[in-house]
Amino acid sequence: MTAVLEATDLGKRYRRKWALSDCTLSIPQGHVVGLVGPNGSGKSTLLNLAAGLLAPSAGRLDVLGGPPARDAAALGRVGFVAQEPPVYSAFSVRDHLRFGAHLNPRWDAELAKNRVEDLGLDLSQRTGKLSGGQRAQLALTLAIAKRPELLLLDEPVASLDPLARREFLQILMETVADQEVSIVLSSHLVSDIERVCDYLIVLADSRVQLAGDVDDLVSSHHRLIGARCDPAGYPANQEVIDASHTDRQSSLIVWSHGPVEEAWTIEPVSLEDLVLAYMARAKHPRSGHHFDGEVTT
Amino acid sequence: MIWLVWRQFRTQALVVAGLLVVMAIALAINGTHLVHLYDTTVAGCAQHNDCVSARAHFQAQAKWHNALNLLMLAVPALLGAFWGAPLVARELEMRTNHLAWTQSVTRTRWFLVKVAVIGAASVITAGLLSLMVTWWASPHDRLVDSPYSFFDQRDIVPVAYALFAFALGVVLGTIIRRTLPAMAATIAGYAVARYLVSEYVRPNLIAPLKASLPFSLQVTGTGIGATIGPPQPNDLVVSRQIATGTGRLVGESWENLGEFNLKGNGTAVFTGVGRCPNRIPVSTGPHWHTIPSTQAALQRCIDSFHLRQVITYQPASRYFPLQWSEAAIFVGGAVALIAVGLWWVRMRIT
Repeated sequence: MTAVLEATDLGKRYRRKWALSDCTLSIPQGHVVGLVGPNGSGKSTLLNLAAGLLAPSAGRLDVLGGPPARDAAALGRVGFVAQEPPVYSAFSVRDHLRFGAHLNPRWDAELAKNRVEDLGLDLSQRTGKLSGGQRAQLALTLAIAKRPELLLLDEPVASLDPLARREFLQILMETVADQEVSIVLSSHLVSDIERVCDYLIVLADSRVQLAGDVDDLVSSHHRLIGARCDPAGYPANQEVIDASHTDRQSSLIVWSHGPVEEAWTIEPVSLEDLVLAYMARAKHPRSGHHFDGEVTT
Repeated sequence: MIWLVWRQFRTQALVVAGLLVVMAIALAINGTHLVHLYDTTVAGCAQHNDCVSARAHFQAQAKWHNALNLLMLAVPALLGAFWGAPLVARELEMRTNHLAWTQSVTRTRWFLVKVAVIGAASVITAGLLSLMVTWWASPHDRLVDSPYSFFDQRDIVPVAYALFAFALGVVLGTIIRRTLPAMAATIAGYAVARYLVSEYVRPNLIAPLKASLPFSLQVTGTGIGATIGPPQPNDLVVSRQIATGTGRLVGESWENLGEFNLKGNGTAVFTGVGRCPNRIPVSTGPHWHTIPSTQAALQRCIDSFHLRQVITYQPASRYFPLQWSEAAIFVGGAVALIAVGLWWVRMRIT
């Protein structure tokens, strides 16, 4: 499977502070990839690097088989919607569609026009007067209508109210269904990711904590509940990601290598709990062992 | 790309084009009137012996002269500040570069097309303005006959200044990344560059001519008067020194030559130049220097040094070679600045 995005020891430093370091990951083609992590974990940096707006300070990044934004053709294959997407506030909606048409050889004018009509945007309206949700939708329209092979969305719904958020993601999914496009979408909310993504990357502390197919991740992780015990009593054939304890009970989130002993009750784990467990581990590392690579079941 | 640049720039372009049209009409009407006035009054004034009043009348009529000269000085700086500085800085400020740089157009092309279109507009604006003002002022400038006085505001150099100021604005905006500070820095940087070139480079662009001319000081009842001037009144004097007949330099201006230091025994020193070879008769009284015999003796003393003024100058005939040379310097500077800007946009905004 070819990778749409392949990072090797990738790092980005702003003056003295590393915004992203030692990032090694491979994102396979044909997925809707959710990039989750707490604020400041490097999600935005990673996407800006992939869009070619930033240059790496260390390591290597290939997007669709080569360095990002190396020429006009490479730029044309990647669509990017920046955080709180900027638009030319003096331009009308129609001007933005012309902008897309003039700057992108593969521009799909029909698609752009239909999308803007479906959204109910007034073509002659100045975009400075649009709501945040409408601006995000317009930016998404521009990114989709250039017919990219890879669509990068940096916190596209962060500034939207819940209704606009749902609408945005729904339209995104409809569009993806029609096009052969891989998507990488960052968010700090797992619920957004859960709605649309089939592949998950957890980024915390500027490193990849977890990466894999959502279904595989959910099916290979479990919550084990049993009598309160200390780490010495944890099941030996399970990798404990996170543990919480009450007076009488211990609740473990584990990555299962094998069958679980009968002393433990097995419960499924939600994607949200799973992500939180990995983020918690990144914050207070219990062991140096990190999950890496894809889950095999 | 050209569509985008035009869409972003069209309002300003149309406003400036409108202003240029209004100015062209006003200058055409007023300028025609001035040409007629010059031909009917100043041109034939020698025959009527009333040149002083004819010239004064004409200059009073050409009352836009100072304002237009000021405008010509300001326009390149304004083009740099309002068209150059925001070119990249405003995009960075509004983050619209994130939109522009993720379309199917490289940063290099984005930058070069913007620079080419708006740079060309700056050149055309300054060029048309210079053409109008140079034509409008031509009778006045002929009357004053001092081309180097308006060197900065006529003919070719204003166009090169405008291109340079524009390029400076682009680069400073790219580096500073904020529009307003970049605009201020552009005006300041442009003023400094212009000052340095006109003060230190222009006089030596072509090796100045040298002339050694007799220089006469006349002793009068109230002191010493001098007859000096460049070889021609319309030349550009680069340096002026006063030397004795033996070639010894004694000063830059006759006002600094000092005074006579008279001793009671009749010997005298012309301060800064030398001891008088002849005796100066000194009589008592407050008005001794008005006595003809004393004056004559002082004059003989001055004459004995055979003072000359040594001048380096650019003759009026070099006006256009100097215009082209200085324009070339500023155009070269503009090209270098654009190269820096391109490098910065590609390599440093990451």
